[in-house]
Amino acid sequence: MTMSRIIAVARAVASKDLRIEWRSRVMTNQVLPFAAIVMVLFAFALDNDGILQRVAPGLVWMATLFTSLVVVQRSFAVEAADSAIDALRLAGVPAQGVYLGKVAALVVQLVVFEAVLAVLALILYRVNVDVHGAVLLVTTCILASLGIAALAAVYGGLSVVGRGRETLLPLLLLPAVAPVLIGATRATESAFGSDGARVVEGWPWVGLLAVFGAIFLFGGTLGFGPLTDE
Amino acid sequence: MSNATTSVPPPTRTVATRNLGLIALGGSVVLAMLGLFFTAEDVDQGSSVRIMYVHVPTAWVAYLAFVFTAACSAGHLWGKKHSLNLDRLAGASAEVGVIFMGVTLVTGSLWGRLSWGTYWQWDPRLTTTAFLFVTYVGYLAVRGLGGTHQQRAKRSAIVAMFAVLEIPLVHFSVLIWRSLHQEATVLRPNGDVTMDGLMLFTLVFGVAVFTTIFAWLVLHRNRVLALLDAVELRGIDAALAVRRAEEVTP
Amino acid sequence: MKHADFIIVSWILSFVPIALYAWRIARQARRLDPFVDEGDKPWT
Repeated sequence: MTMSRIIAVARAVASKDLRIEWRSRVMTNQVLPFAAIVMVLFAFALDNDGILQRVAPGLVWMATLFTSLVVVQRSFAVEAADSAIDALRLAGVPAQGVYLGKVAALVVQLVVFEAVLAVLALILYRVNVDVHGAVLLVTTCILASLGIAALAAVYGGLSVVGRGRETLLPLLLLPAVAPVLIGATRATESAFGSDGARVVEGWPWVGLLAVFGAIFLFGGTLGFGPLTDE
Repeated sequence: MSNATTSVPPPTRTVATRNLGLIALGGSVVLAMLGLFFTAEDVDQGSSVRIMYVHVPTAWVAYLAFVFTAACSAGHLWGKKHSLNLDRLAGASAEVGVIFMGVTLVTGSLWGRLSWGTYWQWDPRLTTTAFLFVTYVGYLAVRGLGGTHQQRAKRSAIVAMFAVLEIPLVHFSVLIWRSLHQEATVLRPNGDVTMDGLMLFTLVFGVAVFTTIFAWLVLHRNRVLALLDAVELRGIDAALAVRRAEEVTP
Repeated sequence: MKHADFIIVSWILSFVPIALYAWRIARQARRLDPFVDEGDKPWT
């Protein structure tokens, strides 16, 4: 099993997933409004402009985590429907390729949602970002999405094999991605300048996100195959 | 234990587990005497140090249980036989570990109320323990997913490996997260105390007693899980036999 | 609660869950035992 074959499979799976989401419009018509309403509800719950501005980074990432649960469930519901995952297994393609493809598609979707949530934070919570902050923010979003997706694809695969056990995903995923929440929130605080944080203070947290993503991308590549194997 | 159903020894008992159980019971009594009556009060903590004689051993056992689960899971994954018994040991150990960790969190927060004045503080050790608790509750849920025993074993072993990767990352990130915040200036003892001879002995003795309890529980639980697996297999065999019998009759 | 109560409660809450758990698995073992052949009990 060569590297190029794994990459080819990953690309095929990722483009398949993204094409399904693009055509079905479930993400744009259902999940996106959900993410937006969560941001609005935070504002109702906290009801104070000053506090909102200060805790905006945390709210963005909490909303991202909630949304990621829906996105991951959707990504694997597609595989569970009509036993598509069995067809994928029967195709005899390397599981690593399937895993990396799933992760790639999840990362793309999560980054899109984070971009929307960040823009909503700019509008609704009145935070400000300069150019340096924007660079930090984009890097943070990509690496945090990678960390979330790397773990979520593993636990999502588990929820496919244990049919009808979608309730398991939040229980397994949310405690595990706590480091991502911590790292991404602190980096975003620096990008937004919340509480007088400076942009340079955010970059070490990006390092934490990178380490997290690398570890679980490696672990997931090894573990996904045996996990979904029946 | 006077009623008729419980007077029969449990079928998972052997001479070894009975002796282990007796040692654990006797040890617990001696520990209670030492911890509650014979040891002196701590200079800083006063009598609240007496909570430490159960809190520290249960915490130790909980972490030991999860290390043991990880070791058994690794043994299952990389062992040539993919032993189901190792998988059951991992499951038994995780179950006992979750109970001990629950106890640790409760006694820890009671100690915190006495020493810090609050039931909860975002102390890295405490926070990691809470995360570990939830992670292994999830692990136990994965064990209950169903499928064949080999499927269950492989799945839960991989989830256990992931849990082992997660815990140091969570601990490290909580540690640096807390280090950014200004600590309160009032005295906040973190549980480390300077102990005299008898206090130290009681603590070490407590660890030994609770480790014995752990071994005793895991042995019994492992055997009960083997019984469960055997009954499940037997159930399938019995159903198959009935079906085959149906096929022959017409 | 008084100071001493916290200590007593801590000790009770340490041992009671463990005892309950032990009791529960013993009961489960007795319930399952009649359905299992001796050959499936390697410890006997």
